[in-house]
Amino acid sequence: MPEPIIQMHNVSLIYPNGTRGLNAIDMTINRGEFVFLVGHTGSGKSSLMKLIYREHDPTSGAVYVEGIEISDMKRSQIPFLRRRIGVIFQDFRLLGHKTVYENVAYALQVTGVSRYVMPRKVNKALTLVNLQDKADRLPNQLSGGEQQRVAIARALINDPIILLADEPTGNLDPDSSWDIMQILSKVNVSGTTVVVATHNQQLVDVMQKRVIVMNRGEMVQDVEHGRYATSALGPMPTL
Amino acid sequence: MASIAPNNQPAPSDSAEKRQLTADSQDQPAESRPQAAGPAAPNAETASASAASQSQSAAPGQDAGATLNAAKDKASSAAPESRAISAASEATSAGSQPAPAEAASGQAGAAPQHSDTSLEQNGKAANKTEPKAAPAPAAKINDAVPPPPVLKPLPPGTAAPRKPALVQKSSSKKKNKKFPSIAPPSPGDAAAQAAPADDEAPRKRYTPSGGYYLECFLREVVTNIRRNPMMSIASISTAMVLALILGMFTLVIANLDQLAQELAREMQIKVYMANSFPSEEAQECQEHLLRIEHVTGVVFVPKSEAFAKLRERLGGRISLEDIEQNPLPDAFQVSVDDPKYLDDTAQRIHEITTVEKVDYGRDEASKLLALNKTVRLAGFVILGLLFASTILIVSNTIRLTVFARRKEIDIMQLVGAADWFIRWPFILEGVFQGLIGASLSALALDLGYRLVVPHFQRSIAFIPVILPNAIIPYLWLGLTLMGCAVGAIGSLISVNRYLKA
Ligand SMILES: Nc1ncnc2c1ncn2[C@@H]1O[C@H](COP(=O)(O)OP(=O)(O)OP(=O)(O)O)[C@@H](O)[C@H]1O
Ligand SMILES: [Mg+2]
Repeated sequence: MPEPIIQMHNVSLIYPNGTRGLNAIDMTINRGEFVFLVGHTGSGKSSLMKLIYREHDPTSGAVYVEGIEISDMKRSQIPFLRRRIGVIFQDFRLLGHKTVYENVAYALQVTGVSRYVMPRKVNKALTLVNLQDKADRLPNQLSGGEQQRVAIARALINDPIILLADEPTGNLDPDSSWDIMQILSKVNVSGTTVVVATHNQQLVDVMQKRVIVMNRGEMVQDVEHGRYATSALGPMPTL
Repeated sequence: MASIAPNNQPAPSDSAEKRQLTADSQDQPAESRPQAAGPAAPNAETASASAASQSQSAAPGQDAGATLNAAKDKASSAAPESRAISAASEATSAGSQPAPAEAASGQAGAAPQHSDTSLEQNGKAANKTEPKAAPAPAAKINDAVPPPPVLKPLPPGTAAPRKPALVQKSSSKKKNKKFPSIAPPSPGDAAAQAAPADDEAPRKRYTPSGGYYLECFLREVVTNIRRNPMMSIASISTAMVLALILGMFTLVIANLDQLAQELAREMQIKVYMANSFPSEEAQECQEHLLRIEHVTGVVFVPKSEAFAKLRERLGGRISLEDIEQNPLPDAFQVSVDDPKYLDDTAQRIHEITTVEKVDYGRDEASKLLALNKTVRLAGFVILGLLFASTILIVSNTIRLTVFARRKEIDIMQLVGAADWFIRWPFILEGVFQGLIGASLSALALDLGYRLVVPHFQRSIAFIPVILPNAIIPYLWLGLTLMGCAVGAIGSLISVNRYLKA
């Protein structure tokens, strides 16, 4: 029986400057699902994710994670929500003054993980994304793809129940992209709900997962085992 | 909502499914290698698709009934599963090795290491029950799975009885206290937290203490300063210069104040007795004077002594030999505890009948008192202004350094750092910078003052300079405390601003 883990009821998001980020989104993602979020640039994929880990509050409507309305959540509770959601940010959001190792370790430290366990966990995560040799570099000494992989390691380190990956392969070559997809699949197989925003048509087509298509802040299509439906994307926004 | 209804799927079928999943995913690493090489490889599709469908069929089973039996079953089936997944993760992470060797090493390596990859823990997380349906068995599973021995091939069922309900209860209570997760009985947190702890399970259970966080924060401060020395230098030097100015003014004003007080203190009331005053009563009179309020000391100057002094002062230029009878009266020198009582006390003494004349330099006294007041007032005003501007400038500097790191504060919040976890390193850093700046200036003032004071004493001996040992320790104390306080408060205010944003 599917158990909803992320739900949105009639969610709209209008940014302070008046931009409409999302419009009347109704959506349910069940525990253990693997969902692709596709759509033109500016269609609201990142905005949708930001509501889930509560970087923004919806202007109207309600967002539930594990059945709990997160906009009701007390400020002091937000960190605990975020520790259970791994986020691979589109812009990586690495801590510039911390090394690769420290960036990943920080996500563990905030939960108070024992320092005896930490090195092993962090090194495993770095090995997983094949960055074990660059553990002591600062982010600005890494290529874009390497930074992205640091972000991935950090998102996975706390064994999240939900993994939100915003363009996790945006800066990677096809081979590395597939490696990352493998990692995401395995995380998913082990029970984590995975949501991936992507422009990578090939990935979406091959993986045959649920595909949600966004256009101008609205959900225009939602297919199980879907493909990257170019037709559903609608016209490109005028640039 | 669906999540509230307990799922009544029978336990046995659930565990059967799990075993199937286990078998499947164990095969996966070997199979999935070509996938990485050729993106569109058809077997990649099927592999991941089947994996996904497995996981979906596994998921509902997770919240199977809340009976102990189900929990046992799950625990036992979970063990091989997580082993398989960790093997898989080993395989992917190993990079460009040839596929078969890799799969083999993955499987061989996983068991002895009782590896702690995140994937393996995700395996555990997969077993978690949904929060509302059956929290208790979930926690039990999470506790039951991880201890290292479980990862060695065990006959199903061995792992389950290992954790009595009691253990589970206490550990989940601890977790709820330390990690009040969104859903009160929270399997997710239990999984996330139980996992690291369980790695150490045989040795000790780890709960983060104040010391753990203190070490965390201090490390953070040290690396911040090391990686970003210019910011620290800016803050420290600002603090230093300001503390230097503040300390210098304090020294000058304290000395002026001391001077004014000293001058005032030297003012005494000279009490001239009538000629008829019998010198034998001097003792008695002295005691009487001492009993008057505010009088702290009375010195009797007999007329003979006064005469001798006079003679000495004249230095023999005028012969006093001709004067047979000493014309000078007996006198007392009366000192009072505070110069402002001079007037009052003189009045009272004058009322004594045997007193002929009282003299205390009324004009001088009032001038000195006025000077004293002015010095104090000016001192307070100047120091107050300096203090205020010091705080303003230092906290502004700190604000700038914090501002430069507002993005980092954002990121820290986004990866789940609690406010206090972000705040403390900044506060400690502010304290450190304030302390170093203030100490440096205190050191400079210390050395400078000790160097200057002897010069003063030699050249203008009558000025009662405050001795270094009488003021320098207080200067150290005051400046360092102030440095710490300003640093801490400045950081706190600036960090809070970006935390709330
Ligand atoms: N902080 C913000 N303030 C104002 N407008 C914003 C903000 N963030 C996003 N927007 C606007 O909201 C809309 C949706 O943006 P969003 O980032 O969700 O798009 P996206 O689908 O993630 O695009 P991309 O594929 O380029 O990442 C866009 O029109 C964007 O300009
Ligand atoms: Mg985006």
